[in-house]
Amino acid sequence: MKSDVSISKSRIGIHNSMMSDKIKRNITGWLMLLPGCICFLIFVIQPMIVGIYLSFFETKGFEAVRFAGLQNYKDVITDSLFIKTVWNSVSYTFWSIVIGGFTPLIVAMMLNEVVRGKAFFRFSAYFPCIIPGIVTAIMWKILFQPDANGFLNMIFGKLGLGPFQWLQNATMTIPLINVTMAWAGFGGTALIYLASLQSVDHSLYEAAEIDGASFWRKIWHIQLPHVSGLLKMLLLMQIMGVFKVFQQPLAMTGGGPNNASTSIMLTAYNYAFSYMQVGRSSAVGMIAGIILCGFSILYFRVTRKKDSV
Amino acid sequence: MKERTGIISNVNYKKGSYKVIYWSIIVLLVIMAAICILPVAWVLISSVKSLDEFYSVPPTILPRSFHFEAIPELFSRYDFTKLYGNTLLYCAGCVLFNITINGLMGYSLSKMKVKGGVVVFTIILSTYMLPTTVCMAPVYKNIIKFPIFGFNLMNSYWPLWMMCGASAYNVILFKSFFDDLPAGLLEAAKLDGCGDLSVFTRIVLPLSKPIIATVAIMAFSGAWGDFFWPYMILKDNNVQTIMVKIYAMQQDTQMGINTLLLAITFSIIPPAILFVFFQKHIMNGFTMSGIKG
Repeated sequence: MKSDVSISKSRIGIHNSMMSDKIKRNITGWLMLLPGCICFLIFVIQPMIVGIYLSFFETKGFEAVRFAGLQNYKDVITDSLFIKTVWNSVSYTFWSIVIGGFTPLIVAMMLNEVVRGKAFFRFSAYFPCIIPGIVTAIMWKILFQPDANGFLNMIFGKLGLGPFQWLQNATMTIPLINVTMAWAGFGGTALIYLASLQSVDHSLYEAAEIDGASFWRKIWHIQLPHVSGLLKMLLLMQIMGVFKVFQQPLAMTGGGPNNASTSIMLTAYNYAFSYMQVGRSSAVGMIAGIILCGFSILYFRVTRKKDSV
Repeated sequence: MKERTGIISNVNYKKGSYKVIYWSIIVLLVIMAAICILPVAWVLISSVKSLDEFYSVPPTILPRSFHFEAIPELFSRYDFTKLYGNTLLYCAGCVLFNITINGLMGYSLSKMKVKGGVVVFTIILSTYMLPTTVCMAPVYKNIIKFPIFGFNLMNSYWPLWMMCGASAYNVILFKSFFDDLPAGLLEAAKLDGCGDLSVFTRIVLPLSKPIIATVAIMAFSGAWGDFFWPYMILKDNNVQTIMVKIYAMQQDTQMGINTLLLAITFSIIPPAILFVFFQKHIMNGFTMSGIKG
């Protein structure tokens, strides 16, 4: 009897110490989470909620003054400038796919064939990636100088062409900004493709060889199917990235000439910090966010499929 | 002969048509390398041209004379020593916040199994998915009037560092790294009498060196090029980073273009050196970030 009690007591004791262990672990765990939670709360989560909230309000400075319903959205959508920027964003996306969409894959395929000097070519392709984004933008703005002393006009001048207006020419601005972005980013993407191409099973090439497949057919039937999932994923990521383009037009053209290169995010920035209309800026952000959410969902469909295969 | 990795095998290469393809590929790659390197090389070389030569007709591609005295002039006029100091301080803080805050979060979410951890992780994951395009103005508002005590954090590095602490991508990266650490290892250490803290410092930290190194290098090179928020917040000359200064310089129409090119040169050198030393880490980190999203 006596021993029974002591056993049950010690059991409770074990139970207690396990309980306190659990509590202690929870406390330590939450202490580890706390600093991060504060950062996320102040700089990501709360601003997102406030931004959505403000988009439905008339604002003064950064404070909501009066509930305005969908007035901000109406104002923004009927603003001819906004329509132009949406059109510009479509144009940015189009040119980004044309100029930078498939270049990385082609470069990766070429790198994959090289025997000697591969390290050098890989290095040179990646080289533009190490230059900070804003410096790339400013550097290309200088290279695109419209007078005869600009670097590109100098080179084209030797070939007897030009001088060109480059960024000052409204129809060329968006394609040229995309050239800059492609220049800065293609090497990194090419490395991702290269890693994937290197995992192609070599016996496939040999089998195709026996069947008499040409060089191009081997690309079409072996390499392209191998990277197609990655290609879809990276193209979507690129579209999502270029949709948010902001820094390049800000630094290279300021949105000009005559708003020919203003992007959606630059409009949101201008509403908030140039015209001090935070409500409208938030509405623009919301519209862009909803469109991007659509892309995100598409992206998840694509990557999920890739994982399940 | 090195091994071939692509479609063209050694046998193929003996055929004429494949030889043509191979050498056209080499030619195209040489052109690519030139496009990648020459513009930067031109900036580096032209930065020591004199202004007169810059605007001379006909223009020169290679400079006739080198003006290295422009370098000390740049350093004294724009106080580049201070700019380097500021940028290094800013980058060091970013690295520290990225590693400690995101790393601790990743570890807690992976191994501590706290109550509510799943909710926290779901929220972090969703902030990573959801576009943050509505945040620009509210974040700025939080910086000029910090939600706790209402500080004005203009011209301070703290809000920028705290933004580094809120990197969903790094939290996910750390969490998936810690998920791969065998739980038995930590259990064994606990049975031997290690507390949670000493398990962390004696077992987990030494094992996490590779991920910490990768995140640190990526964070450093990322922070070196950070532009938008430093530009919004660091308005005072005493706290500006190099990127902010260069942006201000390019808007100054009074300044000679060779000075701007020289400033650009000095802003490229540190990341270039970093790249030379940590080429593998940086390229791997990039490939990883690309594949994971």
